[in-house]
Amino acid sequence: MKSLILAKYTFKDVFRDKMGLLFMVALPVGLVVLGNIGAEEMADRAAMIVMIIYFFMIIIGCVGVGATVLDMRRSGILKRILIMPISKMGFLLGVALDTFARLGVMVGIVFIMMFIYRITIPGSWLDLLIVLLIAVLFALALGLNFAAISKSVFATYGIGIGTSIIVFNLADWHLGGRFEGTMIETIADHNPLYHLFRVILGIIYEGTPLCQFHPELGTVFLWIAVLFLSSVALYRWRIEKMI
Amino acid sequence: MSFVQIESLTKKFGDLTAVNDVSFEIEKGETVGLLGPNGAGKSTTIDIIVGLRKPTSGRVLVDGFEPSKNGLEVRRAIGYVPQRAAIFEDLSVRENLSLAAEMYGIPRFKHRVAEIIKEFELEEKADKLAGTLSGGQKSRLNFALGCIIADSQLIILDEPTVGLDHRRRMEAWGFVRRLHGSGKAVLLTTHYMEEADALCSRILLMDRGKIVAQGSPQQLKSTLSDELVVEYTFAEMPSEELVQKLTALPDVVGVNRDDLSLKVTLKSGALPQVRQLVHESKLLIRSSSEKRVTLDDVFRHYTGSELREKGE
Repeated sequence: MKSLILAKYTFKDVFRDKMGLLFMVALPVGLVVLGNIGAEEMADRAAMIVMIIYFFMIIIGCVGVGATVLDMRRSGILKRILIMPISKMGFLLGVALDTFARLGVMVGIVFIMMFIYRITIPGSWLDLLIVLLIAVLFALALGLNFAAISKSVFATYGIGIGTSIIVFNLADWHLGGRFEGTMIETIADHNPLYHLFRVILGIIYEGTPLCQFHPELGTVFLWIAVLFLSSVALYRWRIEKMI
Repeated sequence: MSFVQIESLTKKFGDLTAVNDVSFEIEKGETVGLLGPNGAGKSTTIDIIVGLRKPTSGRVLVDGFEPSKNGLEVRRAIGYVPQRAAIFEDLSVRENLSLAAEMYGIPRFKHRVAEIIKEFELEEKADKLAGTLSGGQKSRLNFALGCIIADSQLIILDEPTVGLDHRRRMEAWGFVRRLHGSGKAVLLTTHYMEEADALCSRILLMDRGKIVAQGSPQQLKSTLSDELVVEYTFAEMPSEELVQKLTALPDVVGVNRDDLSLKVTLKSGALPQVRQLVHESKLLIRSSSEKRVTLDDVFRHYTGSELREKGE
């Protein structure tokens, strides 16, 4: 409940920060316009757009929470909030909810743009939207861990962007069969983004309903739970250094 | 039972002992000053009281709760005013206060927010973004946020006047005096002597993690001496008769005449009689000064160093 209150107020910042708002609208619009260039098949267009936005969601999700926490720390707001009756987990959830809402708006804009471009897919748009939001949750859970260990905004950006690219590319290359027969294949099998890739492509190209991907989604949710709990543990451990 | 009870509190960071065997209590209705230079352990003590840090050893009780175990219960009863105006600059004054009010679960929070906006004279700026406020208005909002819980039992003011100009500092002093009058327990940390002297009913002098002395400002000053030195410069040389009359006063310790000036060392109780005798002498006074024992002197006495030098 306290998390929702925190997110409700911090989210208002979206409409006050003109540059931030412009970025939130321009990025998804630009990506959809670019994604429409060079792909003949409708499903290819959808896949390209979704994959590009998916890539950015992961990066922004990873970096966004860390940057928010560090910004709060620098302005002294972090201490003021932590002295209010909110638990550490509640605070982290609040920050994650705020970033989730921001990314949700961006995903929403992408979907509106795809409707404007009359892009169709064999699967359900709602399923696709849900998968993207699950991907955002994973990125946030990962980002919360980076926020707990980073000491500067530069480090947060470095770790967040670097890890996102590595995890994203590992999933992409694994899907393309690059690791077949190697040791990395076993590791790559556990990469949650690899499972999310399979779900997204399954919905876009084969029209597979989301409910049929429960093993993949189960793995992803397990990752999200583990990462969120580890971030709470890291905050408990690090909080004395952060205030 | 005291509202805040601290017994043998120690906090170590590796080899550094930030707080070393500190014990004190705070009753409701008193304003306690934690006075010491930067690095004395004041902020660490506060962080432990509000449950943000765990003590290495010792016991802290706030309203009967241990902050390290029942942090949420403790924080519900505490208002906190930090050194810097820690506010969301992209939220309006009203939104900043509403966020805090909702976090504390204040019933009919909009009413309370309107009330506190009025109390801190922020009506005209209520719907302006906090980032557009002047320094003084931000300071007022900072205080207002700390006072949002109407029934808070303890208000912690963590160096609330650092960086404020004289006018704003006086305004902040007014807020602290108002809090003192409201019957709440107030804990003020500062490294400004005159601030502690003017606002606190009790002062804890802290240095290198230890409380080196405590008492009311007057008690602390009287532990050194209640002597003061009054120095007059006259338009003409003071008479021998005046010198003898002054020397004969029971609480006058010494009188030195040097050409046109007269230096009288006395117990503070003798000051009215000294003034009376000087007045009766009909000498034209060009200048006069009184030097009393200050908290600076007290701090120097206990720690062997200047608080202001260390603090700034």
